[in-house]
Amino acid sequence: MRFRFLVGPSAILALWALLAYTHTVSPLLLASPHEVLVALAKLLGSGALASALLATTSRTLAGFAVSAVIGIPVGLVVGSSSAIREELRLVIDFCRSLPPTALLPLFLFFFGVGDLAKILLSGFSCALIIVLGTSEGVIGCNQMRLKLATAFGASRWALLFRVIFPESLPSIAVALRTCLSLSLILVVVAEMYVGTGSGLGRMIADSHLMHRTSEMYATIAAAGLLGYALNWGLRAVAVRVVHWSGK
Amino acid sequence: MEVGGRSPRDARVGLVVQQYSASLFPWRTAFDNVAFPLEIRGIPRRERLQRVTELLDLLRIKVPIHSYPYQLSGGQQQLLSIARSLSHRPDVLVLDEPFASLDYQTRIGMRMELTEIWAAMPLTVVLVSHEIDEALFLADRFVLLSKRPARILLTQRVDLARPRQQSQLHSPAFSQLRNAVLARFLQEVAA
Repeated sequence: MRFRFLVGPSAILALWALLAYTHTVSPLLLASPHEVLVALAKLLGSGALASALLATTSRTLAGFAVSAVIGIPVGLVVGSSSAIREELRLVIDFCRSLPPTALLPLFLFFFGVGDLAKILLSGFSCALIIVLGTSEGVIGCNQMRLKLATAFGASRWALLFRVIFPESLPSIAVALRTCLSLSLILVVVAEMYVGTGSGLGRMIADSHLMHRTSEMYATIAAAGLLGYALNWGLRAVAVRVVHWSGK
Repeated sequence: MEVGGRSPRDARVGLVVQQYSASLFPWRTAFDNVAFPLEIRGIPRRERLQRVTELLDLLRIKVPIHSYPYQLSGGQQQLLSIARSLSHRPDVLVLDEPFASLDYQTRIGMRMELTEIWAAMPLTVVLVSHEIDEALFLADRFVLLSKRPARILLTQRVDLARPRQQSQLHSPAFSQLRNAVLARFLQEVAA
């Protein structure tokens, strides 16, 4: 059946409509579908949603970029040396186990309430995942290909850039996808904190405080769509770049 | 010790292994795989293209050069591995069971390809094989190794006429060679 994928969303929509229009759940808590649509249209019309989306997206991508720029080189080093891996194992495992949101006040403390704290929080937390993903890729490198490249006269640098790095790319791509989602989560949470003037997190927190329920649902839906679009976009890029993966 | 007038460290070695799927670089096109030994020697792309094209012509390998390994057959991939191992004009080519993971008909074709490649290039080839017939068929000099730890059990000159033909496998001269080698082989297996 061609439209089978619509069954799930339709069921949820139907359940939502039932609960909302019969007032099974209080309208103060659950806005009805048409109210949310009206709120969404208003937010779109006023440009408020567009600027919030822009703010959140740019912070998310900035944090993501920071994590990739730090995480991939560090991961290559950590993956290449079992000595360094052993020395850093506890540090990385501990930092990785910290709930990143627990660090938010610390980052606000050091980097102020502006964009920098949000970007660095996401950058730091995601970098750890990328370090792990990259180093796993390096460790899993096909030993035969390394041996062959060495036999053909490859130097250490040539091995790193022409064999080990491309060989790790599928694993790096998986880590990057995880990180883009995590980055969005962290940015939205950080935006809810004091001192932020823009972003989806801000809009959700504001509409919550002012009991504008339908606006809150509309913004949450927009955040969901943003996450979906980011994930879809990165997957489309990854499939092209890491075209050999799984073949 | 010298290899082609160079120390073993600087020797130009070409290497082909059994597992073609783990041997080629899947992120590189057929061309970039064959050109790899040239690339890491800093040879510019224009020259690489020229040399690889010449090599593939010489070896009469017809493979779409912009395709990726996973788009090619096993035989094509193994031919590319051989071409790659020759692109930097090595002094020695080491073939470590190069045909073992190919199907039988491809394998027979590849044997003939190899004799032609070898005839076209000034090159010492070391072929490691478990197939006594195959080794005798391809070799000038045949070396039988023992079980671990490997020792040389026997060396045998193979004076069959070149270029070798499939029909030689049934010649009395070939049978005589094989029987001599096989006797020593069976003795070792029984030991």
